[in-house]
Amino acid sequence: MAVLNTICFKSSEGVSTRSLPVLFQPSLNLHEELRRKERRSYYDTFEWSCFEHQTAVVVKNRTISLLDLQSGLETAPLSLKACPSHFLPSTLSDGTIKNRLEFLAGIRALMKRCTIESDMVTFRLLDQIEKTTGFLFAETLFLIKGNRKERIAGLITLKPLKGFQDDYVMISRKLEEHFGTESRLDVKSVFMLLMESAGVRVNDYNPKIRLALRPDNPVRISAAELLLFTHGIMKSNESGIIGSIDTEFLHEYRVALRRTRSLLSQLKGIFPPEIILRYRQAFRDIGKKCNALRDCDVYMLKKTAYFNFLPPLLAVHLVPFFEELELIRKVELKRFSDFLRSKAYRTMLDEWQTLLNDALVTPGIERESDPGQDASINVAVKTIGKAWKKVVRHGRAIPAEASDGELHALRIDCKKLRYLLEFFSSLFPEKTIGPVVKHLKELQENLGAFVDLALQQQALYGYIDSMKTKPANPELASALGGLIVMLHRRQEKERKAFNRTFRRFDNDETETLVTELLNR
Amino acid sequence: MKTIALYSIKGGVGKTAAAVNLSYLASRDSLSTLICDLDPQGASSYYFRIAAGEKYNSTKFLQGSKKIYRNIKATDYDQLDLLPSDFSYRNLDLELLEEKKPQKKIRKNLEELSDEYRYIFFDCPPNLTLFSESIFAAADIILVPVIPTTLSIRTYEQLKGFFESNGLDSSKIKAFFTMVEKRKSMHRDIIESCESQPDFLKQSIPYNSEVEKMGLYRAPLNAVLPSAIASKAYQRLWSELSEAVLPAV
Repeated sequence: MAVLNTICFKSSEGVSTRSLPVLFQPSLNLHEELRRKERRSYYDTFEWSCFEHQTAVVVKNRTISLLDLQSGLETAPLSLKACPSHFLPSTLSDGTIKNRLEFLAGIRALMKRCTIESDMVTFRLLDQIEKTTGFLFAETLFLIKGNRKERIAGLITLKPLKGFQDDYVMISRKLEEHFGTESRLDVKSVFMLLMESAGVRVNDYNPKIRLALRPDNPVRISAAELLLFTHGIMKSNESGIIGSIDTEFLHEYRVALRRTRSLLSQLKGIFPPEIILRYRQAFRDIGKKCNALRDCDVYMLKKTAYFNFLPPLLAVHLVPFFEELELIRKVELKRFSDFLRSKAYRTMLDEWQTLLNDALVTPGIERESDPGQDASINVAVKTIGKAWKKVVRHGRAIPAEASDGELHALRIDCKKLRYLLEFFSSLFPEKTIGPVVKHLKELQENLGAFVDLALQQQALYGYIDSMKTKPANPELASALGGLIVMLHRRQEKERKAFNRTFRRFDNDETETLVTELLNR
Repeated sequence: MKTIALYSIKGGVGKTAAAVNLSYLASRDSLSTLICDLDPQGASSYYFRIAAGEKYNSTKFLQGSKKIYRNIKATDYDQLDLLPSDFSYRNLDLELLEEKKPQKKIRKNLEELSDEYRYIFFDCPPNLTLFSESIFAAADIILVPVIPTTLSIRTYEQLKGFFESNGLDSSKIKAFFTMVEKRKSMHRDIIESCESQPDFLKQSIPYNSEVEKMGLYRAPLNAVLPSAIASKAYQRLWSELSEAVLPAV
């Protein structure tokens, strides 16, 4: 049975419910059931991942439900204690909504996007034997902004009931005749209308580089475009970091920061050396300022995994470790938030933005010795080629039993290559660059896991070392020791997997793809 | 998905009233629920004011999930859908005979609905046939309303005997007393004699004329008169079922 979609009719003048009852007679009677006011708050992640999956997250009457933006079907509600400004899916009670939101949002928080008040009259559509065959909702919608209420629109919504297709067709036709075809909206359009009225731009954030660079543009212009993009990502994530909404804000901020630094170091000559030096230094300092905070986040995210690594009797002793981590995180968050709010930081970023905007309009004096004037495509081919050769050369030189240092260094080489491929992806055909990135990604995952496991162990050793000055806690020490053993075993697995993974990457197929890419 | 068959060899014991009210109560817990009216008399369909589509019949029912799904209709209550009965269901036994594995047919046909519904209630016809056997195989619980009279108890024992002699899982059978009139000593004595039997639920449904009026209301009693004595008893019965019996199956 095809799902009958909810349909709506917009009326900017408001909805007169007086005219409705006669509309469907004699086949159906309209029975007024309820008049009420309802406040609905809409939530989504910073990246709009629920909307991307055609889902709206609605909190009303102390319950949360998921609305399918295609069919208009709403899940059964789950009770919620309050209407928070943001929450993590993991904090919900177990059930379908939690599972779905964990799938849609992962570790991202759901943030309140807007609140709407509905002045609503509910009607039942009754057939000759008084069976309900559908519902009509006549609503006047208001946007709630603090204490203010702002009228948005009048809306008539037809919610069909399963199995009553004939009535649905008849009712929707009558409504269309009454309100006009042009006022008919689907559920998704109503959602967009609400967001637009609230001044919320749906899908306004995407951390993936989607710039369309021009191959013949001077590389200075392309670099400025890319750097403005990473600058924008950093700025957009600042408030989420300060508000401690979820750990991805800091993560994405740091990725943008690394991309910025990578561009500055790999695209030589795009700006005068003193400028490059100044900003490389400034961005490196920012990175250092948030390292400790990110480390805390990583540990907190691994909390459940760590507990599961150990037998329950030992795992329980990790509690004070995580409690202390929580306190350290608070301190680090405060410190970094103060920095993000500081005048020095804001001025630096503003000056950086001005410099990049200037570079877009005045790309420099045309002269042969100015590397910033080189065509973007030539620079892309040259730098990617160089980075590619470096990865292959270093990777091949690693013996069967790879050392920590060798794998650390190769990881950095791979990262540089990956960034270049991402920066310049729009200059190359997707069918060639896509597979290269895919092959590289697999290698990076192996190296990333290896290095992460090494760093985690290192940090745990550091923590054990710091325990010497604290009251003795042999249970915690043994739990941390157990954890190090587990992490070490996993790290060794990754080390063993390296040669096999590298061979999969360094093969004829990838080489052909890269050659094709660079000899375009 | 948990399936609960309201079943009795005897007629007029309150199967439909129990199926309608218990399924309504299940859906009130915000759990998507389906009630399948399997009785050709179509009493539960009538209570919910729903009739099957003109093209729906017993053959479609035996054809399986898609055909079944297409004929499910929403009741007036959120989270509660109904698969209406059709008079052609009286032929189900004959049609089942044509099937390769008739006993497993209903279970197989309802498999795909498990994604959509947490509970499926069967309102069964009063007989003991091949169709009943197919229902026994499909149900997680066979819930038997028993009037505290000698004949009713005898019929209940016959059912258990049938399970044992046919190698069926009799632990699925749970009984509860219905139409109880505490002023009658026979009712009191019979209930007392069954108290220690683990297959009998603790909650019982008293005789209440309001239950008979469901035919006038054409709605679950718990929806229109939640304070009625019988409504409260159904509520307690559902609590016992959902908290103590169903989690264990």
